[in-house]
Amino acid sequence: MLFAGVFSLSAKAQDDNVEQQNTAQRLLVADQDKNLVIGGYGQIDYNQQFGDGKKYNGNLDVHRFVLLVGYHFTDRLQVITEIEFEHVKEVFVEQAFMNYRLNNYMNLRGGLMLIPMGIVNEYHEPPLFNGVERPNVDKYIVPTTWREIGLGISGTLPGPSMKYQAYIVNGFKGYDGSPKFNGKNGLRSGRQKGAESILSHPNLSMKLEYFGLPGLNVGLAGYFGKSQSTVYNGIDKNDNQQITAADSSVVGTAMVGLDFRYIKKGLQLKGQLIYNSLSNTIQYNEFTGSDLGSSMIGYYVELGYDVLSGSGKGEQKLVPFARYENYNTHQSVEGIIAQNDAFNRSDITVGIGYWFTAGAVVKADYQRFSNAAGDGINQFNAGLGFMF
Amino acid sequence: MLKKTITIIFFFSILIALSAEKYLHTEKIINKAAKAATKIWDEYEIEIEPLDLDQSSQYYSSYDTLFRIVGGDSTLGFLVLSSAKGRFEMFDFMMVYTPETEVIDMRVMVYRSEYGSQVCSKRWLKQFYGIPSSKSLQYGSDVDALSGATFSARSLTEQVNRLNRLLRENSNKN
Repeated sequence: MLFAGVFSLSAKAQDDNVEQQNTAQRLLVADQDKNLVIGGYGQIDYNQQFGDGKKYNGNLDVHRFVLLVGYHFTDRLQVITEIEFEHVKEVFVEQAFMNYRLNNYMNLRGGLMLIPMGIVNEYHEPPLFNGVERPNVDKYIVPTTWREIGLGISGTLPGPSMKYQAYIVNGFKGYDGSPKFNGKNGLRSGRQKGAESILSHPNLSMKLEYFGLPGLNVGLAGYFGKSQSTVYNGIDKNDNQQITAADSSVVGTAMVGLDFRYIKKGLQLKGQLIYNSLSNTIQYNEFTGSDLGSSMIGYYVELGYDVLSGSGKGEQKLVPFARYENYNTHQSVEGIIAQNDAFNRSDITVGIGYWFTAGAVVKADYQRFSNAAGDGINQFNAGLGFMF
Repeated sequence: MLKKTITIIFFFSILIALSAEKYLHTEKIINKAAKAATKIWDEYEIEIEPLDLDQSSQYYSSYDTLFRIVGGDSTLGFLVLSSAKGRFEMFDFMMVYTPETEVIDMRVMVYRSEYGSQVCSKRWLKQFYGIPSSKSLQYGSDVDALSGATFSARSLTEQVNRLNRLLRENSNKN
């Protein structure tokens, strides 16, 4: 009885109603004529520091321009690539992965992939965030745009409204003759970005998201592993002294991130908290002469309001917003390293954005950067952002 | 610990791969949708008959297939299958309507991209239930915005508005 509908349909399909059948055949099969997907995003910025009685030159920059090219080989197998130009002259591959859709609940994925941590690393297109520049928590604590080569699974569960990702990826390069990590920038300079990256310890990256409550998306991410080091290359497997020395050139990472996004009518609320616990930093700093902290923490909260919401203006948005950030790459230190208060930083950003449509925005904001050592900088930013 | 995790993920993936269907037929998806519809009227032996659509209608798209659900010699409702565009990929969905053309069931059948897959949320889709097809829905006010899936959710809302009109145009035909 359950199959009554099914059988009667099959009978219809046998009819000479060819036109209907063709329409049905076209339906639900990935758009065969559109196997090639082209997209992209970019941001063009104006940054102007000011204050403290000095003159500062402004900066005009095509900060990022990224071209996305994707291709469907079948309804299940696709490849996604993104080529990035940073500051016009630096070329990177931002993503290049193959995705195989096993079913609606699970994909297998391999290649150069974004690490799911915080909000902006995955959702980094300029029309998707407020403010001309990305939050600094997503620069110093989560080293956006953070991507490495790896493989794993991802999927969405429509019933419990959950999304998951789990990947084995290559980790940061901590040492290649000189230290890549330091107190000020944390792990940022250790990103390998898939460029002739070296592997000595695979890392694990996971994220779970829940979107079952209206307007809310909550994420919990974890990243665990060790940094990579060139010192291991070519040393004798049985030489414990050399291995111990090589072990001193790596640090262990346990990063945990909690984030949320909430939209209700015009209201936009966003926030994230990222904590990174590093091990072996005494040995690392002694071996390399660096000043890496043993833990880092960063958080931000952001409030925005779309004043055009509900006015029937379609995709147009006008969003004043304010964001407070705190990030400390020397949350704690070990050994002889002294805690540097200048690395305990707070930013206040106040600004506005106007969206012509969902994919095109003009933005302007004022930022105040300060730190626990008492220094401060004022900056005005204006910019254009787009995605298509 | 890492090795163990790798092994677990690997075997889990293999297991799923083996149990997954090799590929999805259009017909298979229609059958799946029809099965969902039969569950709603399990007291009837139902049939689904394709509606002959007026392709010159401004509301018609080549992705659409509309069915009349018939049981016990009367129209029990309608089944609508179509596709909407996410940021990059098309995704397929189905809706079941009452004879008065109100949505009573809605599901995303195939979602091809990782981007915006939150649109599959059953809870979010329930917002469309029971709303008269004559009402034009606005994303973000009538329909809650969906964080992380703006493109897919907005596009689906627009498709529902369009399909509501298309169904009303065609629901009285035989």
